[in-house]
Parts: sequence; C-alpha cells; structure tokens
Amino acid sequence: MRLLHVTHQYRPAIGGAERYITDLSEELARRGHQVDVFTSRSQDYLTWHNALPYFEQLDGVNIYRFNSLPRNGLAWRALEYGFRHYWQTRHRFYEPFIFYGSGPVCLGMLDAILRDAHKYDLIHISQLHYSHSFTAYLAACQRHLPIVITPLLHAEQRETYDIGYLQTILKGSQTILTLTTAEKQYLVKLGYDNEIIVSGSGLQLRDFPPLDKQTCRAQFNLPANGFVMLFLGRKTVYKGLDKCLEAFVTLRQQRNDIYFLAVGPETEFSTQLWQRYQGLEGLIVRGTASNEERLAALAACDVLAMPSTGESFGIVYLEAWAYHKAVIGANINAVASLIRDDVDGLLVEPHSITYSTRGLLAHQLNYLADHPEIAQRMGQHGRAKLEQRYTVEHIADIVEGTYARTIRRKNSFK
Amino acid sequence: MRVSIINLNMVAQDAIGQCMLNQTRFFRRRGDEVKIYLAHPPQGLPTNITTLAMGADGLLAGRDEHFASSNLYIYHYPGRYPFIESIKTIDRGAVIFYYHNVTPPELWGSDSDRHLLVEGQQGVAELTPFADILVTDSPYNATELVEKYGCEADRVRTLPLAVLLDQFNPGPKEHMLIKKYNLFGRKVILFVGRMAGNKRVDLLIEALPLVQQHVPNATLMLVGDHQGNLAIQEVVSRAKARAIELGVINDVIFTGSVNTLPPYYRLADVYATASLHEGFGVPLIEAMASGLPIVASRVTTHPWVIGEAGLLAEPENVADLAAKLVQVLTDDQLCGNLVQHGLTRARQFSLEQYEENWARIINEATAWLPNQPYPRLRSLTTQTDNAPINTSEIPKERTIAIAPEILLASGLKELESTADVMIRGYVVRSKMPIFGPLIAWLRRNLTSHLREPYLDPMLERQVSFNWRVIGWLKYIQNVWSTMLAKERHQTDSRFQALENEIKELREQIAELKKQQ
Repeated sequence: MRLLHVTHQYRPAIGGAERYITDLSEELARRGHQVDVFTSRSQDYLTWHNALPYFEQLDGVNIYRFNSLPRNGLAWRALEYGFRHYWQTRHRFYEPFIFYGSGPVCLGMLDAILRDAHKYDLIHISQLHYSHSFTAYLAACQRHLPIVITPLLHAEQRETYDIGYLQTILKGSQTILTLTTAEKQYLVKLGYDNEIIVSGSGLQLRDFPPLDKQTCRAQFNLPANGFVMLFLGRKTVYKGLDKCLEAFVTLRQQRNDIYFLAVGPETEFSTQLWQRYQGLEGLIVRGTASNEERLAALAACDVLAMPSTGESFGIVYLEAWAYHKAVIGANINAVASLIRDDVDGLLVEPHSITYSTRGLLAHQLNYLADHPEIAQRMGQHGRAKLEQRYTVEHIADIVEGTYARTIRRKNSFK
Repeated sequence: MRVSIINLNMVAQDAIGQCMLNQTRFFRRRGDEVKIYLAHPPQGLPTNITTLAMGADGLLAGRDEHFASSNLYIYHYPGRYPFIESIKTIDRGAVIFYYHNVTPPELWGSDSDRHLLVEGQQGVAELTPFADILVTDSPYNATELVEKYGCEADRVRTLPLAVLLDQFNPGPKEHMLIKKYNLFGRKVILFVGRMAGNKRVDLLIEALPLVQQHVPNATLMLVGDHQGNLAIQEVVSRAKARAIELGVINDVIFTGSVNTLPPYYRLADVYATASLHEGFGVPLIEAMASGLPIVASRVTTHPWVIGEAGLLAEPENVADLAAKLVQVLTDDQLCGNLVQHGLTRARQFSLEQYEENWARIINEATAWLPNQPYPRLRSLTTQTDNAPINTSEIPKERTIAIAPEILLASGLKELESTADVMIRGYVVRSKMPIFGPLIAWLRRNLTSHLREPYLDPMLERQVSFNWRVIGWLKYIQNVWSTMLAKERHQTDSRFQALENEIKELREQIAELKKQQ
C-alpha cells in the first residue's frame, strides 16, 4: 500500500500522539508499505517554531516537513477569542479563529497533498484538534483520497472535538480509529455512524529490556525492602500528583516502609506542591528524565500510581506492565477500558470529595503494600495483556487491516 | 454475485467441509457464481460441487479471473494455511472471515504439529482486521475473538453450524454392529471425534473402571480417526497403554473412522466427552438428535451446546465424570428427561435455521457493494443440479419445501432495496482542483435540458412500475408463507403426537420389563 500519514508533529518531537504515529509508520514501512509522513517542522506545539529539516528518512519512512505560521501572541488571542464566542453562539464565523490559533497552519502541506495525492492509496490523519487535520482533510476530499483518522479526542475536553470543522472531518472520514472502547462509545453517542475501529496504542517490547530492581533502586537512593509508589509523567494538575501526595502523607503516618518516587517534567503546579510538602521523608523527586531514568524508575517501583483524569489512552500504564508492575489509575472512561479493576490494576474514584478520594487511594496503596503477592500477580496479568493486545505489531495488524478494508470499499465503487 | 470460498481442504465428513457444502448450495440456489479454492483435493463431495473446487495456487499471484473479480470472499479458518495470506491482497469486494477456532497448543498432547497451532493462533489476530465481518460457530468462539484476539465485537456474528437432522434420529440398535463388536447386553458409552490430545480420551478410559463398579456391563466405544497423524497416534497409544494398566482394554473399542455415523449413535446408551477444548461440538448435537443423553466436561462451548440435555462434569475430574455417567446409566427418569431436552435442543441446529441466518449475514456483508445483481429466480427450478448423490446429502423434498421460501424472502428484500433505480444522492463533481466547482456547475446546467423533460420522467415511471411489481410479489409471498406455516404447524403437531406415542410405548416397554 502507498500510505500518506499526516500529523502535527513527528519524531524527534516528544508526546503520546507523536509516538503513536511514529511507531505505526515505522512498523508499516518495515512490512513493505510505502509510508510518507507530512508534518510541521516544529517540535513545540506552544510556538510551532520551524526548526526541523524539510526532509528526512528515518527507519524507512519519508518525512516531509512544512513551514507553519508561528503561534505567537496574536494566534493565542485569536484562539481564546474563538473559543470564548464559539460555544456561546455556535456560529461558523468564529471557527477560522480557532483554526488559526490552534495551528500548525501549513499552506505548503495543502499544496503538496493536492499535487501528490495520486501517488497514495490512502491518507491517515493523526490528532484531530490541531489545524493540520483540516488542511489535510480539505485536500484529501478534493482529490477523492480515502481518509482514515485517529482523532485522539478527550471526552472531557470539548475543544478536541466539539467545533464545526472538526465535526466535518469526523463525519467525512471513511474510518475512525480510536484508542479505547470508551472513545468509540463516545463517538457513537455523538452520532457518528462511520466505521469506528478500536486500534489501541502499543509498545515495542524491545524498548523495555529487563533491569535489576535493586540496582535501579540504588540509583534513586531507595531502600531494597521498602514499598515504592511511582508517579511518572508531566506534573500537571489533571495527572493526580496532589492526590498521590495526600495519600502518601496519610500512609506515611501509619507505616514508614513506604516511599514515593515522582519523576517527570515540573510545572508551576508541582513547584507549589513541593513547597508545601518540603522535607517530607521518603519522598524522592526527579524532574525531566532521560529514557534510561524512566525505565529505571519503572523497574524500581512496586506500583505505578497515576490517578490522572485527562488521559485519552494511558500509555504509561502499559510501560509499567512491561516491567510486571501493578498500576493504579482513575476510574475515567479511557483508563477504565484499559485497566481491569482488581485483575491487572486498581481503579480509584476521581470525582469523589477530597477526603474520600484521598482515603480511597491510600487504602488501595496500603492494600498492595500489605499484599505484595497480589501486586505481583496484577503486574503479571498486565504484562500478559500487554503482550497479547498492546504491542506495536498488534496495533499495526489492526491498522493495516483497516486500511485494506477502506481502500477495498473505495475501489469497489470505481 | 461472484463468490469465492477459500479453505485448506474440503472433506464432506467433517464439520467444516459440511459447512462449506451448505454454503455452496445456498449460493447456487440464489443463482450466484461460486468457486471453491482449496490446497488439497476435495473428498467425498457430490460431483456437481467437486467441479466448482479448484487448486489455490493462482490466488497469491492473482492469476485466477473469478477470484480477482469476486464480489464476496469467504475465508474459512481452521488454522493458518499459506494462501490465506491472499486475504491481504484483495482490492475490492466484501470479505468474511469464518473462524472455526484453533485448539490451544498446550492442550495438543504431543509435540508433533504443535507449531501449527501456535501459528494458527497468531494468524487470527493478524488476519481478522482484513475482513469486513467475522463469523464464528459459537458464543464461546465469539468471546474468544473479542477478548483474546482484540476483535471488534460489533463485527463478530455467531452462526452455529447446521447438522443434518434427518439422518440423526432415535432408532433401534443395528444388529450387525452389535454382533460385530460383541455388544450383547452391554451398556455403551460412546465418544465420536478424532483422538487429538485436547479430546482427552484417556480420561474416559480412566473413568471406565469407576463406572463398571456400578454398571459392570459398561463398554467404552471410541469412534473416529485414531491413526491420522503422529500426534493422534501418540495420544491413542498412551490411552491404550493406560487401558491395559487399568485392566479394561477388553471393554474399550477403537473403531477408527467409519463411513456412516448414525447407527453408532443408535448403538449407544450415553454420549460422553472429556474434551478440554471445543470450538463447537457437532457430535454433541448429532448425539442429542439421535436421542442420547450427554455427559460432558464443563468447558468452552459444552454448556451452551448441551443446555439442559446433559450433565456437566468438572474438567479433568475423573471421579466426577464417572459419577455423572453412572447417574445417567442407572436413573431412567433422568435419562428420559435429558433425551427429551436433547431432541428439542438439536432442532435448533437445523439447516433451515442456518440458511436463514447465513442469508442475513451475507446481506449485511454485501449491503454496501454497488450494482449488486438481483438473485436470479431461475434457481427455483434448478433443484436437480443439487440432487443428492450420497447419503450425507439433504433429501430433495425438504430442500424444495424450504429453500424457495428463504430465497424469495431474501430476494424480495434485495429487490425492494434496489427498486428505486434513480441515483438520488448523486452529486455532479469534478476532481479538478480549484476549478472543480465551476466545472461541476457547467456539467449540471449543460445536461438539464435532457434530464428534466426526458430522462427523469422515464426513470420515475420505471421506479413506480418496480414498486407495483414488488407489491404483488409481496402479496404472493404472504399467501405462500401462510400456506407453508399451516403445513409446518401440521407437521409439528404430527411430530409431537409421534413423540408422545414413542414416550407411551417406552413406558409400556418399561412396565413389561418390570412385569417380566
């Protein structure tokens, strides 16, 4: 198959969506398909700064990058203006403001797709809510290319799907790929009757080599016998770092064999938290971590505690399962369709009042600390699930089949 | 419509072969063009079907014209075979993946051929995404597809296999067989199937001495292939050695493959299986239809297939299996109840049911295909093409009575969906960038002088004529259906009366035996 992937950013840019499309493109190229990627030259979605080369070939994938308009003060103001008025009036007049403010606005990409569409059998657009999706959609419709889209929408964040032109893209795509069943159900509920396939997201198991737990613990100055809970990710408000800290404080009053390792880029929110919990015993904090440090943290812990309420998939849980670790996540749609409560992890209620949430998370952690064999069993179940359902190869099987079906349908009408 | 059916082989005696045969007949009756692509030559098929079968060598190379231009492809999956990879190369038409389950390698009981099962399991996840609809034989298989292989639940359809119920029915024991196997005065525990590792015939042998403590004249009869391949030979030799150890080798009969199964079912007093994995379990239904009570292990599809027609023993628990067998062999009332339930349950796996549901699935899978030709009604009078040749065929009378009804219903549905020949949603478009809308506008307006006064009224008259024809056909179908329903009701009442009569006769026999 000759495939065109269009995404807002691509490797070496970092992020879940970038990783999804990179892994997929490379795996499909490895299987002998011709995969070209059209993307922006940016690796920072806050500015869309044009920094990366125009063309690169990485692991069999041809990457064509296009200049985008910068996301400066004017763009941010346009976005804010668009959002403020759009949902009040639902008037199409405000949509261009959102389009311009979201970015990346790549006119070169529009021209390139219009010109080269005949070279491809199918276009796959990744990440709905950035502006590249509408650019690619317009060009693909104009050239009658079958469209597959992975919207990566967050049901909790309406700006990722609830705008006129985004809805047009979703309606006009032949196939929608979702990461979770919850996302699929949500789209069905919204009234989309296209073919919706749950592809999930996956890991390359070879990226997670076996590591010695004790050596990794020593790397973070953690004792060999303690119970270590890990927080791994950007320390923003919705990731649930504050809930983890509250639970940790509660538990630490009852038992001193518990340790909390928090790894990930700091934010203003986390800086305030550290000021509040300064000098807390058993708390180890690391900022932005290299890949080796991330893997060491995963190998060193006993449980990954991430009661995040803003996940569209939750790839970090898969990473923990790669090291046979139990996980704790928030009982939101996306996470609940990934973690099976009491089988490969535990779910905590995210929207209860603070006291009970804290109590509940602390209770779950205490339960796993008291029953390490249960934590181990959950980790093993998680690993088995990962190997069976969430490897990049398995995801590529699903996507490859979906492409074939979409192209077949298109050809049948020729 | 052109249909391609693809599988590794097609053997009339096995469940998948029978399933393919039913499907081929179904399509031919509709007037579709069918071809069957196989790696091995077909076995035991009627000649008119054999002529449709051909080697699959050209599939991957795309040399076969029928295959390349088919509208519907049906891939049967009993395991992975080389040319199933052609599913990835199909560039138009609808594709159905027919999953018949793969035995888990860990239950195979031998190292020989185990790698084929591992590959078979891996193939499911890899190949199912290429199909539009996944069809499977039982709810257990459907769950496995969704939970184990991550398939979309809304693309999976369950369609139980059909069993030729007219061949399998209760009847007297055949004297020749009693004599051949020296079964005078013996209670026969029957198992039918190939002796693969997952079937665990060794557990049946283990249970036999325990059963004989309560039913001394119990005999175990194992019907089915016991020399087919190395893995089966290993399992059978182990089972025989165990029977010698337990001192019951004289009470265990390995018949090997047999040509006609029904007399063997009639010979038995109970059907038993200790199998640890079944994707469907055709012998269970054949046994139920033959009026046998069932004892089976509580695994995979068994609870669903059996329903209330048998007792379920805990898997790998020989004592429980023996206890359940003793219960059935000694308690006449329980046995009678199980048989009654079995006869009712077996009727749900009829060919008529199968064809009705299969037609629904085919319509669903092909609904989106453009320009589908109507099913040609000439097939109503071409029954002779499908005339039965050997005993495993469906009797002619029944095919004629049922098939046209199904055919007319599905045909009418398709006619109705295509009666409106106007392409109402069509919008004139142009692929030209930028100037496309202008070109489309010009094309629309330059043809309006022909379209509006001539073409549109002509086509509208055709549409109204089509609707009137369909109205009349529906009326005829209603009258006919009512007649058939009446006839069927009468047949059912007759059947019920006969069953009651059999019951009474049995009671009388039991009373006579008591008096003697």
